[in-house]
Amino acid sequence: MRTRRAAIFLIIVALAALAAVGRPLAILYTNDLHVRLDRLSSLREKIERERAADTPVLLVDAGDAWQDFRTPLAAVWGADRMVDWMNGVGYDAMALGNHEMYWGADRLAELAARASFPILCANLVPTPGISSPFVASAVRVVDGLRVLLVGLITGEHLPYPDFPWLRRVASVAALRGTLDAQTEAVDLVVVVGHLPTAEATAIARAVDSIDVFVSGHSHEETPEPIRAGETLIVQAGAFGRYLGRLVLDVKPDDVSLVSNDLIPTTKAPADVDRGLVQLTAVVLTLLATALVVLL
Amino acid sequence: MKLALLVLTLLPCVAASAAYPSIAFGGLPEAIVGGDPGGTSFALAVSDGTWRASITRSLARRLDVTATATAGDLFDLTARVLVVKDLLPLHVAVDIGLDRVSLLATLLLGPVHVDYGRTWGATDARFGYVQYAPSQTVTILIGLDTSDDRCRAIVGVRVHPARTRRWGASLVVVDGALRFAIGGTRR
Repeated sequence: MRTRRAAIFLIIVALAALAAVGRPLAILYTNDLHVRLDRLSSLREKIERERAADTPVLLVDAGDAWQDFRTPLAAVWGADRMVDWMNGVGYDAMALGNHEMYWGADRLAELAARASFPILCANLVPTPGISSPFVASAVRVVDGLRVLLVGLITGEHLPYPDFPWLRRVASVAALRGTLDAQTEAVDLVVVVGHLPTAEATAIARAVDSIDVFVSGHSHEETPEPIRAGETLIVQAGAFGRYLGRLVLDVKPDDVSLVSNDLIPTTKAPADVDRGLVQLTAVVLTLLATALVVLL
Repeated sequence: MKLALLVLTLLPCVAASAAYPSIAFGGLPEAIVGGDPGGTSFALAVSDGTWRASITRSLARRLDVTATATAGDLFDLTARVLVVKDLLPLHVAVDIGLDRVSLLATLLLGPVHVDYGRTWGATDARFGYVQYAPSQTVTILIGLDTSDDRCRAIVGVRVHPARTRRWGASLVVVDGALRFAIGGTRR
């Protein structure tokens, strides 16, 4: 009788111990890469180094990777190369950024089709019957952990006239709707939002089931995650200067922070010959039309 | 005869599906086409007791045809061909009308569009505008139009109360004259 009781006690202790042991997960994150091709080889090296380590990896981007008006070359070229690079290093998902939309609906659809990962945005809703190049959310399974990824986008500087079939809804309402529609159980909820940390904080305070919020748009660096309730909010600066690495311990009813680092990257020369040809074509066409109008 | 031609042109357009863009800036041209073959946009503008109604049908991804009726001319037809597309940030189009040809260029800079162009023919004109959409429901426009050796300022605002941009209404002031327009996309 005593032996039986001892066995039951040991089983209970073992089950409790198993439940208490978390599973590690490294979330690698980038945002606002803005076609900085000279950072890609360094970023790839860092990502591959993390993948070679023991901790399972989830790799996400918080938007504005494919376009940039600040550098003329990046404004007209490089999006295909960025998508191919992101496919190559194995991104799990990317948030739609306002700069992705600057390519226009047709080009954005081409780029999204080229990507091997989902483009996420829950708060831009297409008119019924219109097919959209992005989805509200996606579930990725990383080493047995089920991760729900939800995308959000800022309302700042959106090219509204180029997407007349889209309706922007409030981020909190869109997020709640997406979470309510998720019927299958997940171990982790990660919002990948192309919006500043202040806006992310307000959203995280309003929706309490977010574990991690990878933000963007404002080019902020978060050496330490910002905490809003139980949510950890991070952002990795801009232009690929850093690869963000957030290591978590994921338990059945608790997600705890192990570490967060912004890993610096280095620049390397990038081949842009084809881009220079395209930039020249744009400038010549602009000049030609201007001359015809003015003379 | 002209009325019959207008009716014949308009009837198939009315049986259309979706279209983009939903332009309601009272006929101010842009180097943008519907891009969705089969789609149709409608616009009706009134100004100083005159009116202007137009229906635009996308015949191909780079070709729109617009039938326009005004108080003085019940039938006018224009074809818009998008010559340069997505040479980001640039679109260039040519409008070919019954009595005029226009060259249009639009720079798409996110929420800002910069449009400029020139018309040869019945009325020679040069024009340029900047449009800015600060939010989902509003677009503002400021620009210049030079025709008949006169330079006229253009100021306008367009609103989309339905919170998508498929339908809208605009108010444009051209040289002190008000022009009100409504228009959009039928699905």
